[in-house]
Amino acid sequence: MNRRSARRVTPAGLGRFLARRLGIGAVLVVGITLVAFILTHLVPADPATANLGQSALGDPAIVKAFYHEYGLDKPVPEQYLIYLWKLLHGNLGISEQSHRAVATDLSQYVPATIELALFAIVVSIVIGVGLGVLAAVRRGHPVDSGLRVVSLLGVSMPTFWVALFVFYIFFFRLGWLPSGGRLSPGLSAPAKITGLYTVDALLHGQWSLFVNALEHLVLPGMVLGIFTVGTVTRFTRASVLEVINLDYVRAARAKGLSEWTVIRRHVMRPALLPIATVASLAFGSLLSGTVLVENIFSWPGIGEYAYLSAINLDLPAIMGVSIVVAIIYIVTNLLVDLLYSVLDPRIELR
Amino acid sequence: MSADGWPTGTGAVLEVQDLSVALRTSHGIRRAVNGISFSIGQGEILGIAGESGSGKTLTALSLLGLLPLGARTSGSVRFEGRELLGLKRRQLREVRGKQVALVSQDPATSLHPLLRIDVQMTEHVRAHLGFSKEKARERAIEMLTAVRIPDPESALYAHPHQFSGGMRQRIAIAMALACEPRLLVADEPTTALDVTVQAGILRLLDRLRRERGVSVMIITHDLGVLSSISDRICILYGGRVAEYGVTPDVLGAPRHPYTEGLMRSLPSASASGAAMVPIQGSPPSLDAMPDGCAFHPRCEWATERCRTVVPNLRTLDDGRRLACDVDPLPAAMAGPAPVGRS
Amino acid sequence: MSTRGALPLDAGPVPAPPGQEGDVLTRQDRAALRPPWRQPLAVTGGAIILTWALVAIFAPELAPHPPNLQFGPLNAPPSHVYLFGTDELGRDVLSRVLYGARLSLPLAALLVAVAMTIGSVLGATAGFFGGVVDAVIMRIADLVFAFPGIILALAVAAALGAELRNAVLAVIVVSWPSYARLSRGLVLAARSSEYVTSARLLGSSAWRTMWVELRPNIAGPIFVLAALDIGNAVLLLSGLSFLGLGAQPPTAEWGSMVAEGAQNFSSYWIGLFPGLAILTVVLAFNFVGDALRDMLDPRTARMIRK
Repeated sequence: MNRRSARRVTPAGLGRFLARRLGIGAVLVVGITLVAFILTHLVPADPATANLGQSALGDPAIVKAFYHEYGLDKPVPEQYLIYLWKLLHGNLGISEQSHRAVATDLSQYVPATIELALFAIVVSIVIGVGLGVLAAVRRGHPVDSGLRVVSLLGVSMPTFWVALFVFYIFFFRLGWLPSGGRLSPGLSAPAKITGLYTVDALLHGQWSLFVNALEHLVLPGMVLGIFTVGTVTRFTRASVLEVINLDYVRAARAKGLSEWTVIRRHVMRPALLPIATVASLAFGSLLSGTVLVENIFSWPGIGEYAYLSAINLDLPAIMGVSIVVAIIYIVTNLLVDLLYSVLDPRIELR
Repeated sequence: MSADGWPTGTGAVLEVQDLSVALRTSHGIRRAVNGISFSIGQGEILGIAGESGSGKTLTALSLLGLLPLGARTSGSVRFEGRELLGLKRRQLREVRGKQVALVSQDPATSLHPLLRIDVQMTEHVRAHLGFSKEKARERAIEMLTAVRIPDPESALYAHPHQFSGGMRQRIAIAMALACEPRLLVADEPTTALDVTVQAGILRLLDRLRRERGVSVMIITHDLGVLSSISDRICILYGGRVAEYGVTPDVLGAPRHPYTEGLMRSLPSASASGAAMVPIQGSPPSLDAMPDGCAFHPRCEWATERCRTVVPNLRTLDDGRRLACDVDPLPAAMAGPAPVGRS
Repeated sequence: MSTRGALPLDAGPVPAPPGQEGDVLTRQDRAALRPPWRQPLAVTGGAIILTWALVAIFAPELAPHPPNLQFGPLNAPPSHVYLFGTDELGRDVLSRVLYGARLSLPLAALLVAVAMTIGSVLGATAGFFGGVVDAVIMRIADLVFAFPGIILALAVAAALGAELRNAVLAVIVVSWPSYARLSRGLVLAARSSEYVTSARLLGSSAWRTMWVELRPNIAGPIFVLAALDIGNAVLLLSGLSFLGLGAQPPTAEWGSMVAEGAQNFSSYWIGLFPGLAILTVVLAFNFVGDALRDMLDPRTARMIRK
């Protein structure tokens, strides 16, 4: 008889997997710091010109002091090593715009984006999977073709334009939803537990604050989600179609189970497996979208921060954002892989 | 029972008459199954033999209404006197799994890879028979024991990929018999398995039908499989019945040139040193079905009539049915053939 | 049991999995098998692209006014005189939209062509040579993938200076890895295909057989990716321009026009029409790319060949 151990996820296996993935992740992050560093030092613009006033620029002593303070007078490789050293200590440098530690800035901005992204992902997956299954089950009918066009529309719309459009209609004309920011002016944020206003408000039992934060989430969240809904719908449809005619699904029908049971228990699970992949891809496009959406809705997140840093050539901030974004990405991919191994009993973590 | 002792009417568990399945191919509408008739009695094993493209799998699928979209059936399929063709979805579900069960070709693809064995084995039992979770589990363990799966309790918590091919097929059989159906349709049950394992599966099927009185329809291209356990054999060619009778007759003294050709082309134990003679040519595709008898291009004894007239199924003295117009039967086929039933 | 084993007859294939006997075609399959010129989506997409291409070529003739001429009433809503209205500097929005096609379309096409070439060559190289070359190229691709598109494009464009040319470069940098991954995958698959393996066993040169195997197979997926990517490129380019990192005023580029629309909120037409232009172009390319991808789906391809 040929039976392997019923436990596929052993502590040792998990440990090895994590170690390997984190190792790769670390290498990737180092690579990113290198790239970020090189990029920002290829900048033809001189940070001194960007940060010192006209008169100060005329005085060589001040310029020299500036260079010295920012360590810009040292040889480049040494600057890099110093930077890495500081990184390991959690020091991401001082932002030139806000004159605070970049790490502090980020600790404020990151949760805002996470809240927005999570909202967008949850909404778009729920809607997208539902529509995708519908399109697959009604394959060939007008419903299917209609949904196909709709999802193609979704991925074709320029985010910034949709944001404006939605803004115009729901705020300007109808006044249903707020114009921007995370909370209405005059309201203060709940005491920070997770940094997600909605969650924190709930945890503190501040119901009206929760509602207010939610209201502010709706517009930017929906706009962010449009692109993802389109992708998730198409993907789910393709995935379900692939599974629905497989032998084991037909065997399930041959057992006399109702079509609904067949779809729910036999089709959905294998069909949704690849959704995890889509979700991680979607996350990438979501982060991209945040740059535009946060800009328009005045949402204080890392997208907006990245934009401002880029415009102002705020080197430490740029590097900080790049690193944080990359780390978020790596962690998400890791979680997705772990999720896969839980969902699919055939996968062994290696 | 009909005059010659063959199951018919209420004596038959399954009675198929003039069944046809029409498909829409890239070249138009074709009949993949063209007017076949056979029956299966209580506790009997009927073998449906034919090469790929002979329509045998479609025949099996049509019993349970599992044909792909766009296929049309005609004729009659009576299960215990009740007509199955044309049943509504809901009524079909009553039959599927509960009265007629299907075991597919490759257990690697017919058992759900992601669901635990206990779920797969109990869901239809609970749906059809209304068993509680515990009772369904007991039934599952009972069936797994019957098919000789060691340690059934642990097996329930495993997934299909943790078992070997032979084990998986046993599980599939156990799953099919869980609701105690009257008819088991096994589509190429041994084809995907190693030769060493095939014998075990066949013995299992034989034992199960003896112990439980379930009738079995085995579909295969492997005559060796059928020679060992089937009571009667129905040989299909080009979507029609070529020869149909009790196994020792059909395989031992074939009357259809096709059957004769098949037997001649197999290695045989008793006539060691005898050459294996393959049949010239290849089976016809749906789009290029010959006129008249579908086998005539490959038949040594084909006459002018064979080229134009489709032979009807006639009954011979020994009770078998034969679809061949060559008369008198050539001497080459009159003698004893090398195959017997073991 | 005296007779065992399968019938050693003929050259018929292994019994087809049930359900594929006789190549049953459903209505949907037949719809999918129609050539691209009979697929409604592809045709619509193609027509839209063609229209915009013509607009781009003949913009000077078609546009009623020069795009940058500030002559008309400020912020005039759409009327039969100014079909799309005028913007805050008195320029005709319709003309600017028409001229915008001369920027977005050719730039996106060029950009994708370059990214496709660079990416496929790099990817194929990685696949052919394997080892260190493969590792290096793929690590760099991974690095790029580790960044969400626009953020990296942002960084590159900002680093190089806010100019349309640099925005194009930035999008190229962001796009090439997808082609690299795809072509590498195709090369690897071809390399280990049975055709190549058996040819090598017979003594043929590995490279040549790979090329023979690859040639019909490689163009398809890469061009499908390119078709879908052009839409993406238009979105990225206009997005960068929207943020001020691409086209600079007074250039009539759709993205920066939408940005102007954002600043003149109540004159909704300033931002609406350029955005619609972007939408239609991207949608058209997605239609075409989608239809192409359906055609290339292995299942449909097999049926067509039969």
